[in-house]
Amino acid sequence: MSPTQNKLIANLLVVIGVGVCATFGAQLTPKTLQAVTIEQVKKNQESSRLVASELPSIEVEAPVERVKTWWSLSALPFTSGLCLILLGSFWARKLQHDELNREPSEHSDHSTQALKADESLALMIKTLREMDALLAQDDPKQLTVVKQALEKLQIDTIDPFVESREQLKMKLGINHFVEVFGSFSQGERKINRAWAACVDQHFAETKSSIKTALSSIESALALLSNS
Amino acid sequence: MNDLPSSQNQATPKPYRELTPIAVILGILIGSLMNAAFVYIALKLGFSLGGSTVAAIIGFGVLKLAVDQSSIIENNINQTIASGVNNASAGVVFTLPALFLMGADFSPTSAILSAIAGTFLGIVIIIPLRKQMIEFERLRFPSGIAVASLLKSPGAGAKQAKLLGLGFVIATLFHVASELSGISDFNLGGLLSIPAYFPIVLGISFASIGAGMLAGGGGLPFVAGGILAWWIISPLVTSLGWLPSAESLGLDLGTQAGKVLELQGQALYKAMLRPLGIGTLIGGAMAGVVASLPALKGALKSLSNAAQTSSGDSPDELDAKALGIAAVSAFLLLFAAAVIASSKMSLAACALIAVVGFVWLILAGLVVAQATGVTDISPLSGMSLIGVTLMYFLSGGDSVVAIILGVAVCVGIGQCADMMSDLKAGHMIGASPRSQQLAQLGFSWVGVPVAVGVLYLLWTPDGGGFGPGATSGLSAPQGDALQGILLGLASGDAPLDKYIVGAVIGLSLGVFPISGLGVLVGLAMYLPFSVTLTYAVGSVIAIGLEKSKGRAWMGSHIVPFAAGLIIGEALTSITAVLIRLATGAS
Repeated sequence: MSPTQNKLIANLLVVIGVGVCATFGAQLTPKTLQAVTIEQVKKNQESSRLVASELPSIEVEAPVERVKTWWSLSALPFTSGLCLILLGSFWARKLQHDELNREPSEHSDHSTQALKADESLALMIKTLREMDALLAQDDPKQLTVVKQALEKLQIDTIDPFVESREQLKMKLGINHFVEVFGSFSQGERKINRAWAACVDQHFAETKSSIKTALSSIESALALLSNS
Repeated sequence: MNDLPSSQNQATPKPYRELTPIAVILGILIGSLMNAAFVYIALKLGFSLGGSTVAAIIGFGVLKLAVDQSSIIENNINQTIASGVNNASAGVVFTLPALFLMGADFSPTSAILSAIAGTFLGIVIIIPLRKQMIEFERLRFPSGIAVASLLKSPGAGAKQAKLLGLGFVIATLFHVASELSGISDFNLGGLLSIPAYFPIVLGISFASIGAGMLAGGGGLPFVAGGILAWWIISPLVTSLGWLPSAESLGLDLGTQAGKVLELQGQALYKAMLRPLGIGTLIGGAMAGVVASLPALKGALKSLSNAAQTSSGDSPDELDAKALGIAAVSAFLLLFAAAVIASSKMSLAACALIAVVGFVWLILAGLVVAQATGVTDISPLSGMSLIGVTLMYFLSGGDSVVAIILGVAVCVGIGQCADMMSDLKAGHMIGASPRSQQLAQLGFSWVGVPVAVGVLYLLWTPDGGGFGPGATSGLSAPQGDALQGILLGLASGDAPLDKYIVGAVIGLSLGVFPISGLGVLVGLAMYLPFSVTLTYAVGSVIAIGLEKSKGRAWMGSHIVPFAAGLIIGEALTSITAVLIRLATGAS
């Protein structure tokens, strides 16, 4: 079977498992069903055949008793459903793990992805350096140019990089990912701040935000290169 | 006046405006006004409203008039404070009225202390999760995106402003039509004579569609959970005969089949799916905590580094030391509230109840923040209900202590979701998280005395204040419901089996490699299907458009349009409620 088919079956196992667990988990104990029924009858005026005086009093089942009675009714199907969820989930995890380990040798996509992450960060750095140089001219007219460049950077480079974070996480491992992506996110926020400062025509803030963003993204690239 | 470059402006440039006195004062004023109004609305209608968009719009006007160089980020601070102050009202008004209705003898000081403790705790516990939820997981927080789009609108360009306006107009038109006609949903299943246990009902809510559009494919697990609950489990449970039968309900299946199905549907939702959903939410959140531990460790490390930073630069976040001090102070407040509220409990018991309340707040805050992050829908009432139940059992059946500490839980988890949504908006416009966190931590508590004060102002014990049948028309439905639940608990009625079973399902889903899956599936069980299905429409539209137009197009077209839908419905809802209250219409 292909990895896609395996993935589909793993997901299906989880869906069936949740369905079985939730269906049998929803089953009411006889006493609770009776209490719910009486409550519904009391609320409903159309239940004319049972007048209030004919209703039995609601017998509430203590919480722990309720758990025990439910367990005696639904233990087997519920446990089976739980096994399906766990089986499907662990299988899905394994498939994801295999996919990651297989890709560098079998597919060129993943190594390309790693390169792309490097390239994306490098491109961000290049653009930010250009903006930094522009702002060094101390010409407020450049704010419009910078704002447009930041918008282009966001759409063309930052958004795709953010979208690729799951692959990056698998590639780097969670701890290293947190370092790289944390540093990148700090830079991204400063880029957003520079954009806001451009709109507010605040030259000094635009300049300092670009500088801080540049430093954060450079740090992210350095961390990524160390992987 | 612009800030000129240094060569042209020899004086030191004015600092970029962010956490300014006027932003703080304006935020407190707007937040307090909305808080008082929304307490009244919640007592009358049973729901409260978010006020971030209103605050941002008023902020634009007032800040521009008052300051000649106001900034987008300054308005973000105003909006952060206003929504924090306003948000405290929901936590108070959903819980505290139950004590008034029960005629309980309680100290208002304990209620205020508890709610203030909840405000601080909610903010403090969610701050370390900012990096995880906003930077690493990139949760959408649709309302946060909508507010950011609004704040960015002065510089976003004519095309995006038009799209935002188009979304606003569409949502407004449909919401006005829905208000005028009294039709809040479209029952396609009913039209096609499909039985009610297989519901196909769409809510007329363009805000839900907008939230689904912003979530796109990320919202699919939530949609799948809804389909599983309502299109698979519901027909199965019905066909297995696990619901009250027509005979036991005193109805004739031949002539009253519709009524039978309606009552069975109510039983299915209230006694089965909803409590099961709450349990799944809790289990999902527990699994989320375990899965997030490495990232949380990283976040705490960075907070700790912020505390030790020796550079002159302002750190990004409130440091771990400040958060620790705030958390300990808030915990002591909570403990004091428990001691004042209870005349019978020992100090050790009060400490235990405060600790459990604190721990529950962390878990529930995580659930609410995660759910809001993906769907924009907050299971606040369910989480608060469990909080009150826990407090009730721990206090040995003392309703006063249960509700007083329940106020803290309810206010706190509301602050968690609000803080995170504001931080998302802040990230998108480049605000300093530290300034936002300081603003919310420093001033949200103001909403507590405002909300409690309004309750006391409105309350008269002779039946004219609020409560079922009150002559004022303020029926306080949430408080009344909570009172009913406490009475049920007093008789031993608690669906513990459903909570435990749900928690096991939620925990087991934590193994699957999709973050937050348990919370999303639980939320889908917890909500009526019309909400989930409407959201699904938005998700499916977004997925289709992304395939055909690409991601960049989605960012430039769908984000402002969907934000317009959310803002349009939010503002129209508030206006409609105010008109109804002013004209006395029901």
